[in-house]
Amino acid sequence: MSTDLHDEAETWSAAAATGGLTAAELQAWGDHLVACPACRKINDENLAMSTFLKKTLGPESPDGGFEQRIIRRLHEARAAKASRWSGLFVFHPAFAGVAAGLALLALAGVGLLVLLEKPAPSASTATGALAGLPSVVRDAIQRQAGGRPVSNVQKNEDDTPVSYTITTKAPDAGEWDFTVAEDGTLLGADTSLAAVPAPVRNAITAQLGGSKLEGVEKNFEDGDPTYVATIVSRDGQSRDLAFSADGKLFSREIAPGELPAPVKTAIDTQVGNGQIGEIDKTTDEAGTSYVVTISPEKGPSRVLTFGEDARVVSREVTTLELPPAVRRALDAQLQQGRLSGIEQTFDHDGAAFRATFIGVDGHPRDLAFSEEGQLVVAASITATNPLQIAHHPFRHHHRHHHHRRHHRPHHPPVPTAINQ
Amino acid sequence: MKGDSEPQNADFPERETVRRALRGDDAAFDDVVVLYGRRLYAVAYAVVQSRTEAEDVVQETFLKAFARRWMIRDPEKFPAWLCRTARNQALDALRKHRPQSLPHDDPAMQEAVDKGVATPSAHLRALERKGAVHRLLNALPDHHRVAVTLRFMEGMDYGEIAATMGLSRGALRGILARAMETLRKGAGSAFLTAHSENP
Repeated sequence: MSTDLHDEAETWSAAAATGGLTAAELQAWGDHLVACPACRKINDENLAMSTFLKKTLGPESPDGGFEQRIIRRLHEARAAKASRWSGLFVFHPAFAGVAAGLALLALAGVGLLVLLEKPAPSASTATGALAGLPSVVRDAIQRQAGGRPVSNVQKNEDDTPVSYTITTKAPDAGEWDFTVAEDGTLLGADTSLAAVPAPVRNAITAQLGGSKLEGVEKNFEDGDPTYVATIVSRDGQSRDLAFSADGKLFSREIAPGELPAPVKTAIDTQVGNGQIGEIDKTTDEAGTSYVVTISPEKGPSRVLTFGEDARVVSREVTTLELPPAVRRALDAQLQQGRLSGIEQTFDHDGAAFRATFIGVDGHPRDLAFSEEGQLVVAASITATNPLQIAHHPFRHHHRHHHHRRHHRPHHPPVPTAINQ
Repeated sequence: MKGDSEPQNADFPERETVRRALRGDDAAFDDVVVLYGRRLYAVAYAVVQSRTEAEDVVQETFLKAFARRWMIRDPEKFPAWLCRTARNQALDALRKHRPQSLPHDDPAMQEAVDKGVATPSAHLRALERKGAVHRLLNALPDHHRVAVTLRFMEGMDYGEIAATMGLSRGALRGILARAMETLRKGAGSAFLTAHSENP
């Protein structure tokens, strides 16, 4: 019998019961127990206690939705905090000149937000506003601005990922807006009717009728460029029209009154006490759908897509809302790509998560995952791909610094090669 | 026995995720929640012994961690920092919300537990076990209770528990040994025999 083991029976038996012995130690302890009834009794009781603890504490472990609840609440807390402070990202021309004074006011506990909420940015440099941005965004802005003075920087908190819309104002060229992602990628920029491809120009002109063209934006977010024309009708109504590069109109902003009654009812049900934002009617080979931005009473706005039958086809989600298994699977697929958006889609077979991203080769790709994180569809969206979905999701900003996106209808792509 | 001098956190595969989270990567911070959420829950549960309160503590801990992540320079120290924060949050919660009489303080239940009496339904048996465990765990120092809960609620191994609690494996082995001895003696042979025979 080993005296050391016997003298340290409490430690050895506890380590054995809690999984703390190596294989060799376990063998030695087992050999000792065969010859020592006293130690065997202690060991048996510790094993019984171990089983008892496992049986009792195991069921007290959190349920499967635990992590998602924590992440969702974190996201809500961050969004609430960001909305409280988003005013800090709006450049005020007085900022640079009175920075020291502001600091003193802040120290005195008065006036900071009041001063920053003053409107009407002007065409002066926005060094102060840029200083608060991530360096990669700051560099991208300075690169795109090309020396034009930045007059306004707006952080688009509702976008996934977050983006920034920048307004520049050159003394002899008026305002020029562009939008960059948080990784510095250019997502869209103002252009002109003269500068767009002829099919797009012809299509826009054909839609104008008696309306006035307020502006055109070129979007790059999903690889192939798309174009958004903002037109203002005679009665002053502003509407966005979205065209693919071949001049096909694939999305049109409509008023709530233009919705089919069942769809309107379904939207009202989803909105509750919130507000309806932009509504886009989109059309592709698979049919028509309605893409609606809904702003709830609390929390960030969300994009929902309704089918013609008034069923919710998909809803925009953030990475924070993904089940952990889906998020891990998406991370593994993304590698160095840039995420454009994620939707939770609903069809007769159940729910799935669909992510669109731009790969390192610059081409957009679609991925669809089951709720368990299994990759069920991987499709390239390119001009030559026969599975190309005509209407890529894209975002754009318009001339009032309001950043938003158009979505394609959410009909899952036909499975092709799984790029695992 | 081996292991007393092994360096803690010799293997820290989540280093890159934690590093990114600490440097402001929000998606990586979500991964941190997935990585450590259940450990923190076990830590909190060891103190507050309530599922609802434990989840609240985890929530508060991650909110605090998100706000203060810039202050933590060494990713390897982050798990232990989270654990300490969760434990402190749980102790605060306990001071604020601890009811005067816990369900497992019920005298009838106590007697049943003490005698190891078999009760007629599985539900009551579960309640009895839970009450007994709480009573036994309450006799342990905080950090002993945390180590035991991490081991038996989440099934964590020595390396994970040591990293979470910021301990060496040797120190952890000593803690678990003392904790098991206290628990075993507190329960008594008759109780353990009764419960091992009546699962």
